[in-house]
Amino acid sequence: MNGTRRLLVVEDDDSIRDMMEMVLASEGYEVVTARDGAVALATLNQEQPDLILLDMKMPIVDGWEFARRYAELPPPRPPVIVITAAQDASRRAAEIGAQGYLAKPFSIDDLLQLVDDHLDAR
Amino acid sequence: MALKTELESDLFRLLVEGVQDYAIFLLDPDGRVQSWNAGAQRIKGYRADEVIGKHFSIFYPPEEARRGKPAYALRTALEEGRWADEGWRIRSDGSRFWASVLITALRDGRGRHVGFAKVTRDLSERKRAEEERLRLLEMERGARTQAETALDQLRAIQTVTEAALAHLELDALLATLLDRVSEVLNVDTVAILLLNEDEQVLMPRAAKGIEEEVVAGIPLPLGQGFAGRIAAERRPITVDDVEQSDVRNPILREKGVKSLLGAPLIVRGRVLGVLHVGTLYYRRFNANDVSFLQIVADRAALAIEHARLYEATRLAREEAEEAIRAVQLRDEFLSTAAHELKTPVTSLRGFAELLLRMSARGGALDSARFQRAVESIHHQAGNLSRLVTQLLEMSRLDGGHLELDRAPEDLARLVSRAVEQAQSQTERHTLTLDAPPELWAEVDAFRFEQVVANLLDNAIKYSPDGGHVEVELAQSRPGWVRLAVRDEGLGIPADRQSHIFERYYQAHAASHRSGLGLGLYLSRQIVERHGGRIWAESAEGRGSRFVVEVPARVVAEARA
Repeated sequence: MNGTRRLLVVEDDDSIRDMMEMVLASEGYEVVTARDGAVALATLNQEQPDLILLDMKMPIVDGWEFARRYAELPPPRPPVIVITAAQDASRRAAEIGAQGYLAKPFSIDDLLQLVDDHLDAR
Repeated sequence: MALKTELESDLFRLLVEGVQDYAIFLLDPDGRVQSWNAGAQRIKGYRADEVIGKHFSIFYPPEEARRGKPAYALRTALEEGRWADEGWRIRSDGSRFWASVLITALRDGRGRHVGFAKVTRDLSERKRAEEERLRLLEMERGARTQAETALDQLRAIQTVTEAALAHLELDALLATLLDRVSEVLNVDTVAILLLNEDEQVLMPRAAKGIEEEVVAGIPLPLGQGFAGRIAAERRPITVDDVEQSDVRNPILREKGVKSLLGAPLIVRGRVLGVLHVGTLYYRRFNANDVSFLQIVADRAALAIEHARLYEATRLAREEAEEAIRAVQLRDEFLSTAAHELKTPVTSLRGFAELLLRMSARGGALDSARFQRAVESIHHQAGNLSRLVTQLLEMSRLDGGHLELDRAPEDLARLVSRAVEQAQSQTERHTLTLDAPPELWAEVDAFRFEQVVANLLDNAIKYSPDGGHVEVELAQSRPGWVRLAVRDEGLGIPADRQSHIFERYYQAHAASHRSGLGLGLYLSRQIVERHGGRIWAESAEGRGSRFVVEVPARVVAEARA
C-alpha cells in the first residue's frame, strides 16, 4: 500500500530513533535515520526521501539550523514534520516553516496517520 | 585820584561790610579786632561795639587759646604771609561752630606790618553734611558686609545642599558633608552620630578630626553627654569651654577640643542623629553660627533620609530581581524537566504500542528487534526512574528533608556494580575500575550510588567521541575514601568550573546535552552531608576528573 516510500528520521535520542524506525518499517516504509542535522544534510545529498521527520533539540546541528540549511537546498524539497518535546510544538513548526508537527510523547497511531496524510498530500 | 581812591576805598568798605556769608575783619599787629562786618556779626554773634578792641583769641575754644593757638596763627601768618585752618570756634553765646579760617598778614606800601585780615566761614552745615555722608557710608559698608556674610553663608549652605543632592549613598554623602561643614564653619572637628531607634542610642557614624570616635564606636544613650542631650532636647547646644563643661567624651578631651557646637538632625519631626563641630582653640559660637549649623543640619538630615530611602529601595529592587531570577530559573528548570521526562516516555510508549500492535495483528517482530524493543523499554524505564528520583531528591533538599540512612557498605562492590551498569549503556566508551577487593565505609548506599552513577553518566555524556573512562577507588588517607572518575571528553571551560555544582547549571547547555542540570548539584549535597567533599579538575577539551572524598567513619577502624 505504501509502496517503497522513503522516510528520513532525524533524532538524537538512540532509543526514540530506534523505536520510530521499527514502527515505520513495520508498516512497510523504507526508513533512513540520522543522529543530528549534519548527518541528515549529508544523507540528503545521496538519497531523496519523500518525507522528513525532524527532532528539534539535537547536538551539533539542531532542528533550527537544519531547517535553515535545508531551505537553501534546490527544490524539490520534501515536506518536514517537526517532532518535539517542547510545550508548543505548533510554534516550533511555524518557526521553521514545517508542514506538520507531532508532540512527544506521541502515540504511534498518530505518527502513522500524520505520515500517511503528508504522503497522500503529495 | 585821591578822591577816586577814597571813593574806591569807601565802596570796598561797604562791600566788605555788606558780606553776610563771611566774617571779614581786621586785626592790629597784636591781634586785636579793628573792624567788623555783617557776616562777622551773623556768624560770631558779637556786635561791632562789643568786639572792636578785643583780642581775637576770644573766638577760640578756651583749651586751644590756653595752648597758644591764636599766637601761633598770627606768627605763622606773619612769617608765611597766610595761615589757613579748619576747626572749632566759639560764638558770643559760648556755642561752637566749625569754621574755615584764613589769616593774611597785611603790609603797607613800604612793607611795614600793619595788621591782619581775617576771613572766617561757618562750615557747620558742611561739617554736618560730611558727617552724615560718612555715617551713611559707614552704614552702607556695614550693610554690604552683612550682605556678603549672608551671601557667604548662602554659598556654604549651597555647597552642603549640593553635597546632599549629589550623593545618594550614605557613606559617600557623610564623607562629603564632613568636608563641607568643616570648611564653611572653619572648625577642626566634625562628627555625625546616627540614632539607633530600637536601642535609643547614638552611634558615631562619620567623623573628621576625631575619626577615633567612629573606630571606637561607643554607643551614647539618648539624653546623656553632649550629643545625647542635643538629640533628647532636640535643640542646638554650645559648649564654650570643654574643660569646664559636663562633656565626658575622652576622645574629645584627648584631642584637645576646646569649644563645641552641635545641632540635632531632624526630618519631619523625627530625630535621626546629631551633627556637632568643635575647635582646638577657644571659640564662642554666636547665634549666627548656631542658626547656620542648624540650617546645615536640616539639609544633612534630609539628605541622610534620602540616602536611606534610596538604599532601602535599592535593596528591595535587588531582592525583587533575585526573586524574578529564581522564578525564571525555576521555569527554565521545569521546562527542561518536562523535556527530559518526555524523552524516555516517548520511546517507552512507542515500543509498548508497537508490541501491542504486533500482538493484536497476531504477528510478531523478528527476535532481534523484539530483544531491542524490550531492552529499550527496560533501559528507558530505568532512565525515567532516575529522573524521578532526582526530582524527588531535589524537592527533599528544598524542603530540608534529605536524611541519610547510613550503614556499613563495601564501596568496592558498589562502585564495581555501577561501572558494569554504565558500561552496558555504551559501546563507544571503555570503562575501567581500579579498586581494592574490599573497601568499607558507612554511607547511605542508595544516595552514594546516585553520586557514582551520576559521575559515570556525565563522563559518558560529555565524551561524545567515546574513549576511556577511568574509575579509581582507594583509601586516600587513614579514615578517608576517595573515588575519582576521569574521562577524555569535552572538559569544562575554566570560567564555568565554579558553577558546575550549582543547581540547574549545565556547563554545556548550549550544545543541547540532555539532563536536568541537577546531577552535580545533588551529588555535592549528598557528599557534603556525608561530611566529605567533591571537586573537579579539568581543562577545556582535555577531559575532566571528578573526585569525591568521604570519611569512612567508625566502620573503617572497627574492621581494620
